[in-house]
Amino acid sequence: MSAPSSTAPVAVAPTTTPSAPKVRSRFSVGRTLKYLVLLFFLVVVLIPVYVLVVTSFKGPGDAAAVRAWNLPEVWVLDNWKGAWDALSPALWRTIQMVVPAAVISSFLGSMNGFVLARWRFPYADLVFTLILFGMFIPYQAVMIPLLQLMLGAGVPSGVPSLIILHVIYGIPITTLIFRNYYMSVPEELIEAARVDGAGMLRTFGSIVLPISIPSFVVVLIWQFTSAWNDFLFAVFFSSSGNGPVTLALNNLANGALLTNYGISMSGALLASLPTLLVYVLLGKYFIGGLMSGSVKG
Amino acid sequence: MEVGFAPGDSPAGGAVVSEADLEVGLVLADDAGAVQGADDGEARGGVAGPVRFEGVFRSIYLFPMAVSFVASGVVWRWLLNSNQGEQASGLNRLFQMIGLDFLQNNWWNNVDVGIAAIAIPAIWQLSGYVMALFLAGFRGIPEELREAGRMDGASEWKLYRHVLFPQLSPVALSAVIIIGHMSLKAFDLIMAISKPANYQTKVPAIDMYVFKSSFDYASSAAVGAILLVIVAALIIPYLVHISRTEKAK
Repeated sequence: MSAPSSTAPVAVAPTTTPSAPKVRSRFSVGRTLKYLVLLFFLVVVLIPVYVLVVTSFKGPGDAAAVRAWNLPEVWVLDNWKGAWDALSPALWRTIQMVVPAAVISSFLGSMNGFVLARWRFPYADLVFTLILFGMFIPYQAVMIPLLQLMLGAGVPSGVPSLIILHVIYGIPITTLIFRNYYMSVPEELIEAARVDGAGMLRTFGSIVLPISIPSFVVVLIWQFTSAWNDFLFAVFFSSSGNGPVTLALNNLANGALLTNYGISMSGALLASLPTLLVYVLLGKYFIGGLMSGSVKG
Repeated sequence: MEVGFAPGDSPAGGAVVSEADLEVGLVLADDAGAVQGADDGEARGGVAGPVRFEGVFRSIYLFPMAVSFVASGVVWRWLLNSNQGEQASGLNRLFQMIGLDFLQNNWWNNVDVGIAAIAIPAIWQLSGYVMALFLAGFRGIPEELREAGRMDGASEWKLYRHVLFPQLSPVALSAVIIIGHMSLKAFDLIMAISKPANYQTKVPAIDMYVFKSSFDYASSAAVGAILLVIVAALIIPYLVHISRTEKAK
């Protein structure tokens, strides 16, 4: 985000520049500017976090507009308790939904990726492009047909519906990540298995699956995060009684006529903790999923 | 290191895809928190030399991507409170505190440009992602290219303008397509900040929900189909472009 023109001289190695001393003096100015810009954006990114944390610990008497940006006069835990009471059933339901959804769609994705990359069939590229389109399709376009399908098939709303939907709409991205990973697996490995008489399933199960662990970590984390954060499917396929935590949080925050920001901000933090924890602990795998063109929302 | 986003480098090129991207992504995160050595930065041809605590900066810039729009909507609804003067809270209050009173406004409650206020939280949430895309792009440019440019006497600005930025145009295209189609489908954020009935923040995705809530399934499905056409008009040329680049390889 730093302006290249102001910071560019830093990149010049003194040996390749005729006017080395001059570069050295501009070096520190550019450097200072660079860090100032970086710090400015750091503050911008963290402002909402400050507001969330501070407001979540404020008591009801501490809500005056004048003190909006101050630290709490008294740090209280009532909001957190209230948010926990309101959200804990939904949190539990979300876990029940996200874990099977992530595991199943990862497994399907790895099988798809394997056939598309290393056990080719006619028109495999066309099929792959069509699957990719599934990643970009606006879910709104399929929502009403999906509602009728689920109703017709007798799938109960809430967790079961959401598991099925997240599995199906997870297939494009999981297939994509696994396909690209398997493209990097040496052809010889698959050939050797084939020569030794292994069929498609045997090759997949005994050769490919064991070396897929790194991709599985990336995909599982990605699916976990996107299913946990999903709101669109939750609105259409569940209700406050059987929905995931995003729906419960939205009801908590927007349900009442006058919003209690203390409780809703505690709730927002509570609902974000699992994904933030994953991001902090396994950040590099999360970024791996992000960089493979994954799309949120 | 492979060129992360150069067209034709990966099976489907661009941001959709490629193990090279994935590797770059992983490399990006590998040294999170570590202070990067100067030689390290040189070797990678860091944009403007190595940044101390780069991993920390990067992780913080990118963290909003791990949070749901609903959760961030809760705090942005507070920040974008339309009250001004005595009653002001949120950003309006902050503007008063730092002496920028004239910046106070009624945000998404503005009937004409209210929807633009919704872009602020969206920018907050997504720009870290675009940063990561470009960072991977910059890191993927071979150092020889910079060296060659410098040998030919290009100034740093010219190096960026004529050598490095053109290399990144596939990244820019991908970023525009990805963020663009996400914005077309915007739903969660608007639901969390505004209300479905608010005229000024109404977009097709919200309309679709409003129709469905009033059991007008036909209109709801029609809005969905229109949205599909709009998104397809953006995505299909992009996918065709990608598969052409792949074939040309």
